[in-house]
Amino acid sequence: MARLGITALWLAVVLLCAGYVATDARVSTDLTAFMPASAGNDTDTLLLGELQKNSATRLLLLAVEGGTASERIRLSRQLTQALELEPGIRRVLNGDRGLDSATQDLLFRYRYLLTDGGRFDHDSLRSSLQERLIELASPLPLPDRNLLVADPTAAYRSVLLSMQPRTRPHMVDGVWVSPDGERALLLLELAEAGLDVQAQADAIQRIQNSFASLLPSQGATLIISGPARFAAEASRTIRAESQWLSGLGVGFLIVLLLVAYRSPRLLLISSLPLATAVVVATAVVMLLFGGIHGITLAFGMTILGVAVDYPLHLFSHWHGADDRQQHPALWPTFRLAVTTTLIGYLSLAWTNFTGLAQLGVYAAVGLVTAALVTRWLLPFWLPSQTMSRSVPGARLLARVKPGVRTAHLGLLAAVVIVGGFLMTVTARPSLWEHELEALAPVSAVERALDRELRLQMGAAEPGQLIVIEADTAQQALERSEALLPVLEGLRQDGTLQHYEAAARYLPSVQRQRLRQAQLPDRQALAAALDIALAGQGFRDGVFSPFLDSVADAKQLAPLTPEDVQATLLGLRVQQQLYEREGDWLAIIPLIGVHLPEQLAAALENASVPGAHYLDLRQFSARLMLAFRDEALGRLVWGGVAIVSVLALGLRSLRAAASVVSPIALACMATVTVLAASGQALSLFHLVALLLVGGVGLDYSLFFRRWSRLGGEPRTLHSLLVCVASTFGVFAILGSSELPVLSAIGRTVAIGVAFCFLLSFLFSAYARQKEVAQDTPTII
Amino acid sequence: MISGTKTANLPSGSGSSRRGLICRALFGLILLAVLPAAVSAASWDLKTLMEELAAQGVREEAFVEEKHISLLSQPLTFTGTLRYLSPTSFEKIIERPVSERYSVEDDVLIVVRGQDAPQRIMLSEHPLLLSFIAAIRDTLAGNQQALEQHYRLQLSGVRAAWRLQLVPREPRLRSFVQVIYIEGDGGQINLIEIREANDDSSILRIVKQDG
Repeated sequence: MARLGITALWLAVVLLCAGYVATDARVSTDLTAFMPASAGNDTDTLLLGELQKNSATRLLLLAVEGGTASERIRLSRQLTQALELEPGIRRVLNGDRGLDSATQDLLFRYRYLLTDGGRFDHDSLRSSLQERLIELASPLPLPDRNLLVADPTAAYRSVLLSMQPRTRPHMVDGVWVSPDGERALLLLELAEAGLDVQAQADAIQRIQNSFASLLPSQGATLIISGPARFAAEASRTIRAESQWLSGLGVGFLIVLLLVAYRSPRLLLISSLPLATAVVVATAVVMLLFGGIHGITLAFGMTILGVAVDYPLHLFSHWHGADDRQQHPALWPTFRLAVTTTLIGYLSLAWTNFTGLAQLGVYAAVGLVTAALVTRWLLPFWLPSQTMSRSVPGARLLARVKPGVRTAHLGLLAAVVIVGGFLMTVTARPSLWEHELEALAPVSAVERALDRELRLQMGAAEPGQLIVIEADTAQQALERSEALLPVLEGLRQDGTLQHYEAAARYLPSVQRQRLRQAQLPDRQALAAALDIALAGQGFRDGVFSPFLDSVADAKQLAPLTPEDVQATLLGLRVQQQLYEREGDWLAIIPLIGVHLPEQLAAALENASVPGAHYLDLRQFSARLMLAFRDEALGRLVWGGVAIVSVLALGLRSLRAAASVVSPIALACMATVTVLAASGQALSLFHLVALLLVGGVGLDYSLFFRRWSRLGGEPRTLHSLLVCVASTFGVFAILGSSELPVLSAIGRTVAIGVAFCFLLSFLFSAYARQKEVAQDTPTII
Repeated sequence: MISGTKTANLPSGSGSSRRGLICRALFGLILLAVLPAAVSAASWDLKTLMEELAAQGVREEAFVEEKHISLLSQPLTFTGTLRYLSPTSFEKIIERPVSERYSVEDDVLIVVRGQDAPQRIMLSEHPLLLSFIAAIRDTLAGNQQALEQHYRLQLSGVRAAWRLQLVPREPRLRSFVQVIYIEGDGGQINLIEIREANDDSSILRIVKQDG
């Protein structure tokens, strides 16, 4: 009856949670969740938002390679046409697009306000006229010959030049190509914002389909590169690799459990706590936070690996159905093991980092769920006889009775602590991995190709930009203008290759007025021109359109972003100058930044109000540091809480210390080994250590129980099965070449091995002491 | 090319003698096919001109060029040298009144003005410039196929005094260059006249060397 009732209750909870998760599955990938919510400064939030929206993160570089030159050009043209109609793609470019005539007319009329049109004294005019004469005399046709009489100083050329990107790809038949001509190049901007991985992956798939439908012949292939493709590729590779390795791991587990318990039925039952935990934890997090973050889901499941051990402890200690109510020795230890781990994970839940809090809640809820299922559901479904069989090593371990003395443990602790200290301070290049890039499963070859294409295309790197905040559009332009000379200096000394800025081709009203004021009036200009024309050979009166133009420019209302809205120029301005929540932002994308520190220092010196230099690498490194510091801080408090609870549960502070010490040392030793092997630690290692700590405390408590009960064989059995399963599964994961998987796999495998070994030694020591004192207790 | 145009016009002639015309056209075609060598040898046409130009090989000739620019009250006069180096490269060197050198090597135009650093221009990125340069380079090389990509050609005159008219096919080029005339005697070019769209024009004359 109880069996039916509890099973029904369990089923109802699982179905309810699963139903909720299934109907409202919103897995967010927004990195802001991993930033401090209340304590964070607004600039960081603003910058991160801009980074994600920044068009560079939406840019894809496309290249058609192989085949004949004409085939590549055909594919470039037809792909551009086909993709213009695709949803999810904002624009495609495969060559320079000339300006529309409306924009041309506008730029021509405002030429004396948009650039420094040169000076208009007679000497300057004379040298301009001489240059025009040389051009007229040249055997090559002059493209702007018809504009010459209205624009003898060639101001319009400077306007066009300021609009042009500084580096442009080579062109053949109006199509961009690489310098060697072996690739046709295209630039594509996705509509989806920076980190919406799934939407971007879909768009990439559509690009590939479009290309395939053009029936490329003669071996022409399409290369797609850029952050969006890397992200899509990364998630695909990680999924594929982790599936394959998890498959291996599950196979290993099945064999191990069959060896240890010889019951296929147990296999199924053993999966129930973890499966239930995942479903319930996901549902609770979604309910509390209004959604779940992809990182929470991935890391949370890793941390919940602790719960795999719970059914194993139960199976090993199982005496049979009659014994159901008689586990006085198992359940108190079990309860204490769950409680301590729970405290560790809950310590993460109280934090300003939404992402970290999600992770803490997820792990805590999952842990409690798994424990409840193990305690109250599983016993009803177990067979009525003992199931544990001897496992290799059990007898050997039971016979080993190391004579551990205080001095031994002291020495061991000293070695671990000193070694760990030395390793962490001498770790090169650094103990912590700051570059997210190094963790991404993008091969060096692909990254090099991306850089190459980017340089050929003159496309901005994602994550290198200057954001200028201002109250109005004009203020943003004025501040940009203040920065332009600095940037120009940096460009000339090679700190960066180039930069784009709206203020370069659309100056502030203030600056346009200044230029207007400097234009001479008609009489003065006519007089200067007469002097300049003397003896040059030009016919009389040919330059009267020039006089008209300057007179017109003198009375024009300055050009504002609103005026150009409807033109192609406006489209471009809007990408680099826009309003956000009442503020105006000017975005200055930077291309080919060689010396980020120097750039940052120069900007600091320029002290333009509201200007922020944004380097994605540094920025994400800062985020990771903040995240790590927060997590470490929380874990220290968690550790203190764990010791307190243990002291209460064991009614002895010394006993608590003897349970925690081996695990603390094991974690230290694990970090030392990782650092010694040249691995820089990342968030993934930290998460893996959380799992190690949780699992390790369980080991330590059960070892204690084992030694207290005079070498209880069932406890030893359960511990051996647990460590073998965890070690095996994570060692398999650690064999992966993907940084994420190998970091987690290796850390856990090394960590549990240390935990097992050290707990064993410490428990042996405690046993000797207690035998000496002769005060046996059960727990 | 010329005979091709005639053949194409035939069917549109009046109905009554249509059959006869077709017969004659067929006869003409067969004759052309059977006796190509005889036909080309007998007449002065574009193909022959191009063959003779191509046969000239490397050469260097002095020129005098007169530029009429509508903005200027006087025409400008230049003297210099035209050097034909290979089917894909030639040079125009202006010696007076200024020193300038324009070299075309395959896809690159190199401009050197006085003591300035050379300017390299990729012709593939400037299709109009490429078409413009093709008029002179491909005529010098006798490359009919390349010329016809950019221009509609029309040959008039006799072998000893021929005149080739080049009209740009590309409308954008026509907005700069209306027409180019090249005159010569057999494989020898004597004159290049460029009429621009804005009433400007230039006439380049080869100075005949003695001996």
